[in-house]
Amino acid sequence: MVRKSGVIVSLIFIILILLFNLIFINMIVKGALVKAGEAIFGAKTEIEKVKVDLFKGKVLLEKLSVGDKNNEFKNLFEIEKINLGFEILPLLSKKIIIDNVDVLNLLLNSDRKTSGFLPPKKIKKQEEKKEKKPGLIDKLSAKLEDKAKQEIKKMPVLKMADKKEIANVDLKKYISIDNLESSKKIKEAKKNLETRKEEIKTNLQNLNIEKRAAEIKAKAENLKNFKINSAQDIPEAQKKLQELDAIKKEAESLNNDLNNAKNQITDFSNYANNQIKEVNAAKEKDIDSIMKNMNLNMLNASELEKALIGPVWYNRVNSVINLFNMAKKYIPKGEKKDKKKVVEHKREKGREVVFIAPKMLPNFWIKKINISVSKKDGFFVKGNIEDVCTEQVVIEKPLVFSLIASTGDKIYSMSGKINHIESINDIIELKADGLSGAMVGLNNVDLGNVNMKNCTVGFNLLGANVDDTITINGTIGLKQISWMKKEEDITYQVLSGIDKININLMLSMGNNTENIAISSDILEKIKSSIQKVYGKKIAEIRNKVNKEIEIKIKEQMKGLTDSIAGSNSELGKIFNSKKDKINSVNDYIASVKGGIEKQIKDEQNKVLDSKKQDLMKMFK
Amino acid sequence: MIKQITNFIKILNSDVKEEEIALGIVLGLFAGFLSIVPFNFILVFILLLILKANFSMFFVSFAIFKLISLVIDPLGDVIGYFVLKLKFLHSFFSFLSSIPLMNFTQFNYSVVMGDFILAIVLTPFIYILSIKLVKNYREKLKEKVQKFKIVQALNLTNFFKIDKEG
Repeated sequence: MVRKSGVIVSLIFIILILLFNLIFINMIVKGALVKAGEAIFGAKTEIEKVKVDLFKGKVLLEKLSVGDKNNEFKNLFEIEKINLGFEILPLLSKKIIIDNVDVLNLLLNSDRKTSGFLPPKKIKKQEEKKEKKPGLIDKLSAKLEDKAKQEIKKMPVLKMADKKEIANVDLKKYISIDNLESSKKIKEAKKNLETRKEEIKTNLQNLNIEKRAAEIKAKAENLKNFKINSAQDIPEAQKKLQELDAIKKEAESLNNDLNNAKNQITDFSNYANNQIKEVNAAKEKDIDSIMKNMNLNMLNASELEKALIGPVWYNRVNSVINLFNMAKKYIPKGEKKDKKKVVEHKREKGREVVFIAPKMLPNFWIKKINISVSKKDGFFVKGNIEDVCTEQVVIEKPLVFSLIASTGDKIYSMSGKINHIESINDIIELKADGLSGAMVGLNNVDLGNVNMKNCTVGFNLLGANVDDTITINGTIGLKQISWMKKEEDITYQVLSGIDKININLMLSMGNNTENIAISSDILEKIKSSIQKVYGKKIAEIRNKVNKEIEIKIKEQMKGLTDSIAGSNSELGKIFNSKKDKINSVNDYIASVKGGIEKQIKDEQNKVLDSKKQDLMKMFK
Repeated sequence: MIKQITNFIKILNSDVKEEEIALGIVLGLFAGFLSIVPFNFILVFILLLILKANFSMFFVSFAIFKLISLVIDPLGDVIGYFVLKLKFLHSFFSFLSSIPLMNFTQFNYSVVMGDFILAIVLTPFIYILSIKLVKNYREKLKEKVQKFKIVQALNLTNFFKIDKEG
């Protein structure tokens, strides 16, 4: 069954394959690196020179540049030279172990002469390869994108002539009680409060306080008639005291049940207060909507604020999320089951299972990357990255990085820890100061007639991804903002007074939690600016509308507040009567207990006296 | 493609041993199922060079099973993943991982493992079936096929003259 000639041909075949690989190793490595770079960064990756010395375990890369997928003629980064030393023997087991990488002159955000975008065919191919099932990070990204889309809108163009419309307005034709949100809210609040009150009353009823209190009292009554006739009855009396303690505990449990119900009454009271607040908020909305219907072309301060800060926070938060995403994609978390460790990687058609044995090496591990700078000008990065590894569970070390780029007064730093050893526990901190708006893409945001011409950006963001919860907290500050306009309008007038924006963000998302809170300090500035531009007239109209609405809903509002007061009083009375019942039972138990204790004490004194007399007689 | 079909028919009509044809088909099955990893194709190809297997049958079988593999890869993924996650095989797989060059086969990739298991399961059936079919063809159908007008026409173009060449 064996061909002798076949063995020789096979050997020649193997030698030819090896020779081919050795001769074309530089091209093969270059091709693999370019492909990997384009897959990771989604933009053109170019390397001018690759030199691999397989026998010495060294690789030299020169002039590596990776395009910015969001900016056609910018590089995400470019590197002048990379020297790396790898271990040769592990290559036979398809393991890439790189002891050290020296990166020289890593420049961020540099210009490129040709487009850095990938051809559409390649982008389509990459998108097809992307995982279809959305994970937590994808869900968070989608959620944020939705929120940003709602906020990032073009700002209105309002000509100065529109101000004249404000002067003569007939309010009454715009206000009808049937259309008022505040009126609807009052009706709804009254109904909800009534339902809640009935629920609490039913709960109080279901506690059966009276019946249970009577039963407890009856138990105590049975013990009340207990009499101590002699010292021999004392142990029995003590048993009775223990029984009384048990009865007291029942009374305490009854009291606890009632206290829980008290919490419901307190919640009811808070809920009622919130309803009033919601009615007031609905009234504000009514005012806005009526002003809008009056077609006064008012600028909405909140909308303007959101349109301005949306692109700022979205881009920054996205950069943190992208880092978490990359970490999750390339460093799967380890599993430890029955003392055996396994790591799984997803692949195109299936899954790759890595079996961890003692002293084994991971499939890919860069022990240390040193990034140094030899040039003075430009936004160069320096720092180090340690333990870049696809199977952290094998090396039992997290990836740690600390990078800083600075030039002049521009500083950008990034540090963190990616820990996927047995569970996901990542921390990333991004800090920047003095960056230009163009560097963070703010000059590209189309806000309509008015756009941000330039600004200086600083931020401090701390992100954490702990298993199924991602949190990002921090502040973003824009200063020295200058604006440009296509034509003179009110929006431009309002914004031109704003040269500083501070944004606070608190974001958390888990499988069961979701909280996105973004606020800024410019709302009041915009409001006062609008006020200045429109003059006092608008404030007067707004006050008039407010008064008119208050008149329309006065009766309903009174009904609501009376209903709240009545409900609070009714629930309070019910609670107090039940509380009194429990207190009287407690008093009764205490009196029975006191009676028995007194009898015990009297009897003990009696015994002591008689013993004393006996002793006296003996000594006489 | 026409050349492959021509070769296929030539071999059926030749004196090439049924076992060699069957072995070629089985190696084609492995190459087709495992060629998702090029290293595995090279391994099978080396076996093809060493063993007395029929080359033409190998390539025809490879083409057919490569197409089939596109359909059965999801099944291979399920089977492979199940086997790779069997706890009692964990130590064995760890040992395999430590053997030089073994990782190049990517046996720990669920699709490769699953397709390999499917190929192993199919091997005896494909091998025996191939031998039987070739024998049956040569005993019962060969003469009849030769009488078909289309075959006679093809004979004129030397398609079936291999019969006489041995």
